[in-house]
Amino acid sequence: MTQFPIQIRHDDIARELAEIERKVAVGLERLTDLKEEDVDIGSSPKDVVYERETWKLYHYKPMVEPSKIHPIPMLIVPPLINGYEVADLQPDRSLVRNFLKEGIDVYLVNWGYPKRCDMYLKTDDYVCDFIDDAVDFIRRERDLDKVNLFGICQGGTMATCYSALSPEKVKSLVLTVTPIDFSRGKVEGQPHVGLLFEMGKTADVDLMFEAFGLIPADVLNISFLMASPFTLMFGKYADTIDMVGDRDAMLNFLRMEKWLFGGPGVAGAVYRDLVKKFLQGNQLVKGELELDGRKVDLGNLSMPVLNIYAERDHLVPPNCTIALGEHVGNKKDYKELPIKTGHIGIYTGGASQKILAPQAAAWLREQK
Amino acid sequence: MDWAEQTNDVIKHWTDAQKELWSSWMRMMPGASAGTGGWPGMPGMGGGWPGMGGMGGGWPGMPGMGGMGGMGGFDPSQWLKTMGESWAGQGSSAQRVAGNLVQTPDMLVRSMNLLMKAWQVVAPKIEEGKPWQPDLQKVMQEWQQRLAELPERASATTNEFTELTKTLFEKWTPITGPWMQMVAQATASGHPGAAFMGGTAPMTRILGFEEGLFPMLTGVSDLPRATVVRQKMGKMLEAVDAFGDLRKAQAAFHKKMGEAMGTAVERTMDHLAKVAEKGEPITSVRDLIRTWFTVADKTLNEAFTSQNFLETQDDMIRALLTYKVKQRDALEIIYDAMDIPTRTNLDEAYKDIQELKREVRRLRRELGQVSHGAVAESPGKKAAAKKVSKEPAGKEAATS
Repeated sequence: MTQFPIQIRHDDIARELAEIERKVAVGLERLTDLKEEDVDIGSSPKDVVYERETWKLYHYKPMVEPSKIHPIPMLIVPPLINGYEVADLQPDRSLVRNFLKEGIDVYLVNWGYPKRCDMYLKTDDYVCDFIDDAVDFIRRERDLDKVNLFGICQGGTMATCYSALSPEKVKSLVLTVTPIDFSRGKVEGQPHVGLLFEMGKTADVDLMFEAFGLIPADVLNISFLMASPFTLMFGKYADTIDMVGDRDAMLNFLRMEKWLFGGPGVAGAVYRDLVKKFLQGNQLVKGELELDGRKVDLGNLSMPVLNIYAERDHLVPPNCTIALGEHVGNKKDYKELPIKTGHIGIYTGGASQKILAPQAAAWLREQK
Repeated sequence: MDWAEQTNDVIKHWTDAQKELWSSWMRMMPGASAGTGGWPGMPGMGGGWPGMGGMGGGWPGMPGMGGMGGMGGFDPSQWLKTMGESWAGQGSSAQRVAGNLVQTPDMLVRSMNLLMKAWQVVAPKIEEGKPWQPDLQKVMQEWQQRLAELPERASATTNEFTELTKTLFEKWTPITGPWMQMVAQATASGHPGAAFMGGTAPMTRILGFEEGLFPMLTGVSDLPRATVVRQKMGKMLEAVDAFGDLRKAQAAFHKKMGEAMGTAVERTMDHLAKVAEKGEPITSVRDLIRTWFTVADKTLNEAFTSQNFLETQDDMIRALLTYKVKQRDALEIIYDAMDIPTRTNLDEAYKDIQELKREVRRLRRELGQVSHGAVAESPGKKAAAKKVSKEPAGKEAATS
């Protein structure tokens, strides 16, 4: 016996819509009261210790006494797509702060906001010049031969390339949700997993470069939203109405929105590299990638590597990340750490705050 | 009550609730337009709601669901959309979210209307245990057809050249506006390319003179000046062609999206049929909408990764980018003529600068190796005359 499946009564509909209307009105009032400075992201105390062209090097203020600070500083390399603030979204959800509390001395490259005049910046420039310059700066400042590198998503791909080209300057490499083998994105029965990689395989990125020069952040955002268009473009905001009375919850939501939609555009040439050389050509794992005239050989990764991935990552599927283990030169010191979360949740999720930085810091301390 | 009656009941209740919702929103408007109340902080509210006079368009509700008496020509959906966009355009994160929030009721209404219309078609068949898919597919095909025709219809009612010049005006009005306006007027009754020769009639006259009355002018089109004009004309025609190609590609893309959405609706109906079998009815509007979003996202994901869809999408994106490039090429003719640097000129300069920077980097590295040995062996001695500052970055980061 089947039952009529939509049992929404007249007074329930009226009550529900009236409630929605009321919440929207309250939400608008509360949102109007908020100032942009209330929605602070990337707020951990820091100094700009070096700056060049589009980017700045931050050095974060320690949160433990000097004797407890790990002797080898760590440089965080964020991705070029979306801002560095994902590593420091808010005080209680901050990868940076969690590392500082663990006694890790944190530096971070803020890639900034490239302009049209930067459209010809290539992967070679970012890896062989900018990252190298930042690493050399820290080595000079601290009178050290090597530093630790920590890569975030595509920033991890660049950190991997750099470590393979300059292993003598990298003590240990920590990677998080980092795409390495772009051919392993697809998961049968889960079409949203690796969707971006599938879409990018046939993209005419030369034409995109010609048309845009600087790839606008909005174009990049649209491709992220395609993974769940209804949920991310409408459902998310429909659910927001339930938090309008909770200022803290609303601020948390706004911080994430600010990070998501306030990101930088990407220099067209480096974007073309990412799509053509990495995604379409899969040159990194094929051993065909050349930067600044030098071949990037993953076999040169002789330093200890901790490869951290998110088990529910649909943007960079775990298989793409852990493929690195097959290519590193030093398999003995290669370790993987899965975390039960998603691509962004690994940095901003509540549960991950107690896992990511504490375990990565413990691993760094273990390395001789 | 049978399912058809129950469905009509739900639809009637839904329509009544919608009326009340929109009426309630409208009640806030008079106060707002008089500057005495309405939504707090809404941009443009103090001086009356912009564009209200010309909103018109009628109630966008579904056929057969009853009209929205008392609404007149007011389109609440359009109003919310304009209001939301206006708010979102203000720039701050809170305002952007407010813009999305204000459009939530409209999104719920649109989703419910779509689902109710589909359910109205399939409910009696499901109750009788008969195949319901063919009836739904028929409705969906009509809907998809309308969706696919959108760009074509727009094209049919809009002169392509007028559309092109409009987009150019929007971007470049101060410099090119008057010039483009002249061209637009000249092309109103003829082929756009002819306008660059002075309009259709003069060109015909010239060609006639050349052939018949002035044989000494034969071959004038081979003169360099004429060649340049032809090239310019060609660029403009390429932009017009690209615009036409874009319309076609958009139509094809909309067709594919329509098919995917049709499948999503069908799957949602299938889900409701299963819900009926399990005896676990949906009891709220938002639960029904959540179900729709979940099924729709999964269906669209599948469509997005199908080879056929990817090809159509690539074609559309390619057409869009090509149009952008051709539009710029056409525009640069004007800039060239006025001795103003073009986008292409600037991009070439940027490229040169970037290559020079790389050259400096290479030379600096070589110099460092010659005078100090390998950098890696003595990091403290690396020559790097680059800007170093030490300044707190907390505030800067907070507002970036």
